[in-house]
Amino acid sequence: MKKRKNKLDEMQEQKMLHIESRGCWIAFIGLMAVIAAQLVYYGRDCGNQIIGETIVFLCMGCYIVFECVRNGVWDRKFEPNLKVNICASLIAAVAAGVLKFLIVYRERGTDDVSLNAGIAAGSVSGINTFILCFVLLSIMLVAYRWRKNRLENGLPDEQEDK
Amino acid sequence: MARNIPIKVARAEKDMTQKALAEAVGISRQTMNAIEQGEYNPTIKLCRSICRVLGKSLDELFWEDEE
Repeated sequence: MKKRKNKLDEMQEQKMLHIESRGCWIAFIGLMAVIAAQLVYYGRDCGNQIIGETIVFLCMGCYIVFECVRNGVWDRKFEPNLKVNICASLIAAVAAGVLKFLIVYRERGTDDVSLNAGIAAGSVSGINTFILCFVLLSIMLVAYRWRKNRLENGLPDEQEDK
Repeated sequence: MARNIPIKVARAEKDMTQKALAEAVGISRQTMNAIEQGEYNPTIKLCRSICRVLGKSLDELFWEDEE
């Protein structure tokens, strides 16, 4: 099939990329909110209902993470280090903990036993999420450093100099 | 970013409108206007095209003095 010529000039192309980028993040945050809302509202029984959203959400997340690492970029504002990874994992852990608490609390009712069960489930979920996020971020950090090092040192001019 | 007066002057010398220059370079008028207003920083490729059409050097059109 014949490839159509780009009708946009460079400024319009940049604006289009900005718009698409914002659209991507709106979809990403929207999907996350929809999944969280359904989990809280329907509880554990909503597995089949959120499978589509979860697959799209995971595909988007995986694509962004792997493409960033492949191109040797980490983040615009945050340094790639252990401290940032711990902070990010803590944020994810708190979010997962609160979500789990709300799911359990809503399922069981509003008495003291449910409250305690919710706190316990939320804590366990938070700890698990923290460990999982931290391990994944650490792996990504190692992969990023390896890839960046390779991209920085594997440039054609450097090879010619040798 | 400061307004790009040299492009405006060079365009006036050649008696070209923004639209005519934009068409000669192969961009939209809104992009040409944004460059002149200092709202868009063009790529070196586009700078060279503008210079070629206006018969000026990169220094003459895009160099900004420190002060």
